[in-house]
Amino acid sequence: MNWMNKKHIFLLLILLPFATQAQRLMDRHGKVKFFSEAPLENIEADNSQALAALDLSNGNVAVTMLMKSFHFDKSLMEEHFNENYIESDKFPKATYKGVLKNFKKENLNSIQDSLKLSSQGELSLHGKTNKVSPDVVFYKNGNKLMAKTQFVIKIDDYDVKVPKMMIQNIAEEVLVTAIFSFETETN
Amino acid sequence: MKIGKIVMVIAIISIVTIVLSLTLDFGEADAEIKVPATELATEYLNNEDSANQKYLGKIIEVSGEVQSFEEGENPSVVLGSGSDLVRCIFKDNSTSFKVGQKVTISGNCSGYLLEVVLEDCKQIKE
Repeated sequence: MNWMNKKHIFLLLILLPFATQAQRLMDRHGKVKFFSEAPLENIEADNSQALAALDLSNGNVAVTMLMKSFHFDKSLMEEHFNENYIESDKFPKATYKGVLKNFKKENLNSIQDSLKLSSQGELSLHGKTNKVSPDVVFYKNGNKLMAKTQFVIKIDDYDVKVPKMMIQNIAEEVLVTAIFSFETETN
Repeated sequence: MKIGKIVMVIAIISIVTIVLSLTLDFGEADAEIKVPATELATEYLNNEDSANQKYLGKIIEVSGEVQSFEEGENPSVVLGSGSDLVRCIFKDNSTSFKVGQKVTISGNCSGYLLEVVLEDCKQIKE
């Protein structure tokens, strides 16, 4: 049994690079940040463990992240975020599934400066799903293909409830920034 | 006389407590659950929701064989075998592991994303 397992892993290890290289780019350590400016204090959190996949054959994009991987400077803020606002025990993940418009694999290979594509998809967060259409900017960094996006979400759209006494502390709109880095063999 | 004795006893107890609290490290939270890495991953693969109810947000101690190690700002080590994998993420960037090494690590469970993810990890010396 053990030997069978090892054999499978071995096969997987050999085949995986071909499969991913041809069809799909993946980043296991995507960086997602959110920032909100409220009258009393700014709130900022970082997640450096987001998972992103880009299907090169059709421009489909999938991003998933664990809510508990968002970290704040103040641990109390992190606790409130997880327990009171985003309820990460009930809704442990956020996902974006979408497609890049006018996507052509060749265009990615021939990027000189940067390439901006608009995407259209659905963002699921806190048990609510909404249509969003963030732009994605692609650029090269050495051998890596980088993808950056920035968009604003309204917390009300995701059913995140803020108690009246906290309204001075929590903004209604949150700026989300995400940067992904994909290894590419071909330059 | 009696009062003097009581004061003495209290004084001795407080000194012992202070000395103990200085020498013993009470700062590190003990793991709530101890489980082999492959078993934890299997539970997540079988039923993510029920595994989350059991493990999410808890400090878990996992033991297993190192499959891979990634250096960097937040080094991470993957334990387990086959598709039953647990990723342990460290804050300390001097952390280092060798593939094949058997280790025990405790960390805070954030959920499942390709692998079970434990954050804020510490290696447990045996």
